Amino acid sequence: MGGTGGLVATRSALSATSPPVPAEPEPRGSLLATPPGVDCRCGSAADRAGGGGGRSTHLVRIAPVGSELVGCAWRPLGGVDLLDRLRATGRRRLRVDPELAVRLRSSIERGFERTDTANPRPGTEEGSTGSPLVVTKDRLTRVLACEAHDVASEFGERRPTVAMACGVLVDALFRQLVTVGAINDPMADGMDALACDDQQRPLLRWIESLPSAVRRELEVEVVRQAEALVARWPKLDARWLPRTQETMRCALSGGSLLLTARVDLAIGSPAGKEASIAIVEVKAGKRRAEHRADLHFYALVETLRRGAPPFVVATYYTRTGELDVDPMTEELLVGAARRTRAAVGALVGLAQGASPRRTPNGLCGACAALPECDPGFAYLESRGNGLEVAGLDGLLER
Amino acid sequence: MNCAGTSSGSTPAPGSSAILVSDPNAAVRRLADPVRPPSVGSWCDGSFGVPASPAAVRTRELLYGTHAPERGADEGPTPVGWERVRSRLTSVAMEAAEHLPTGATIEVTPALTRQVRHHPESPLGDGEPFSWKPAFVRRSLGLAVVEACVAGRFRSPADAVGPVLAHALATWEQSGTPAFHWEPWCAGLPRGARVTVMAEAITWATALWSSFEWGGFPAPPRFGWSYDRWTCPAARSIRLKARTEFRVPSTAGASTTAMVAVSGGVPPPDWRAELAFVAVVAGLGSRSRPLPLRVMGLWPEAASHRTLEIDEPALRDAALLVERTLDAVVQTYRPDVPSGEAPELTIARRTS
Repeated sequence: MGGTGGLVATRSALSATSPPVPAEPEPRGSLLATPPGVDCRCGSAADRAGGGGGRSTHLVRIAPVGSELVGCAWRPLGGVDLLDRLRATGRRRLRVDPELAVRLRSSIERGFERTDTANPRPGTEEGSTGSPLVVTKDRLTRVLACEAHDVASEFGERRPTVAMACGVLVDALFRQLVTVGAINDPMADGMDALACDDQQRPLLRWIESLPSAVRRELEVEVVRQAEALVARWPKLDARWLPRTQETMRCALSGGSLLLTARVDLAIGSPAGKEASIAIVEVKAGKRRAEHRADLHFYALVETLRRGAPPFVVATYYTRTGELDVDPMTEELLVGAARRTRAAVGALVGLAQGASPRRTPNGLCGACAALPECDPGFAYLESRGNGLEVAGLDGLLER
Repeated sequence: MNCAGTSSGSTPAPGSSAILVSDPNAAVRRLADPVRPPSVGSWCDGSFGVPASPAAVRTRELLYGTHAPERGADEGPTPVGWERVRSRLTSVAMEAAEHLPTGATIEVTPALTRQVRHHPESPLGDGEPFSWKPAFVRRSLGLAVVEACVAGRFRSPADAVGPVLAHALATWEQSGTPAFHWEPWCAGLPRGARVTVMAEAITWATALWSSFEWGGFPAPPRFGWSYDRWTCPAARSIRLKARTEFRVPSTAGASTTAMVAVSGGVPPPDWRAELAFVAVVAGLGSRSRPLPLRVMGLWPEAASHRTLEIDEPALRDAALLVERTLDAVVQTYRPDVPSGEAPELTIARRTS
């Protein structure tokens, strides 16, 4: 169930099951203003009657960014409302079922071992030594989009972009907000956080070398998103054990296969009976279909490593304040396992020397392998221009 | 006897499933709750009156072992067994020392054993110069945070990290002596970087804090601030060094202890030897402290733990691991390397 059909169902479920909530606190600052293209008026007479004074207070619809919205009220959630949306998903939380984790695990392992017999790869868990096949959400998405793209992306560092810099800075600021509850000087705080992270030093230098006008543009966006975060995100009770940038790993097939993920925010304590953890990913860019699949992968890794799934996974879009919430279900986990198995099969094939399949898609316009890729060229020509705008946008947003 | 306090209304113990609830009103009530004394800190005996959460299971396993048959104090390695491993390690160290250039030392740590396993061709690593970073602070700061929570001073790691860090910096400023080593570095950090240090420590500490039912231990855990060390008396250029996060008295008697060691990643293939190594260093390093009867390895990233009962085969495994590690390191000395030009062999990183 990795497709987008589930999203519609989820939204419906949210709309249908969300209890009436009290009026939102008055937005602080201009950053909570309605996003462009969004009609702030109430969507229906019933809404107006319920909300009082023409202000929608009990129905928040999630709409795609940039889409035309007519007669549809949309405002970002904030404070306790945001927290409640995360906590009260409208679905019964999954019971902890060790059998489910075993089934998911064996499903992936069977697929891996079937494809990996020609070239057994030693790993890190009991019974083996050496380097395992490491699967991350990015690698999984890349190889499923196009094997040739995955191979081309594997080498060399990604070229920094303003959007990438914005995303990394906002991630750091979100972490700061969760940790100390405040952001004083967004750009300075974010740059300081990058400076103490070895992996981000190249990006830091790149930002510092930007022309002043571009850097100013970046700063404006970072400040805008940081202020919106401060205005909307509630302080998380320390007793819920909020933690940021939590690394999750799960070794499969005797350690030959390693699934790994790092989540922006995890809340809740591991439980014995009922799913109790919420996972939140923060995105500074546009909504993309892959984000849901990424979250399902996180949920899968969490389920495999603990034997207990999270009860909810969610993506928070700092640019707009949208919150996409996915209550975790067995079907979603099974779908994530199938997707992972398919990707692992492709990665094993590539590792064994198989010629990468070329499957043109929206990322072709920005793919490093495009100059040698006939199908990619043909795809772009068929689209009428040299670059597939949505795909490039999507890539730059990462 | 039940663990009194673990069901206290506003402060679910780690491992409890009641952290996030689906009743929004309950959420508001919880948010509005005044600070109440934490439930931990009420020590009780080894039985448990709470559902078998992962934390409770882990706690019980640390106290009683994997299969729960309570071992008597005499079921661990005998004094003769400990002497045997001491003797074997001494001879192994002496042999390795013979091949070392003058002035060279080898410090065998779990990190070195891993390096030898993964990169036997370059057991000394890349020789990257040390510089402080948040990841190097998280363990010691996180451990101080967990200790403060277990002592009942704070409800959770997120509450504790700010005051604990501030206290460490203030103490250093007053005394001039850094207890953790990182205080001078941390004091000079700008806000954004210091928050990163705190966030890293919270995430590390939360993993440990939520891994055990702290009220289930019969006595307060003793947290490990310093390394255990054993220096071969006959070959002082060879040292063994390891650390544990905390220890609790073993249920088998006051002369033995159960220890917990936290590592990153997933359990390695030779986790038994690695945990045994930790036990051997602790056992040989002090003649006055209780001997380790059991070691639990905790790999929070994998949400995994492994428990090793320390017996004579475990001691032998540890000795073998040391022997292999020293062999690999000694191999890096070619006969044509003149003495006095020995590379620095101490690769244990200063991760406090």
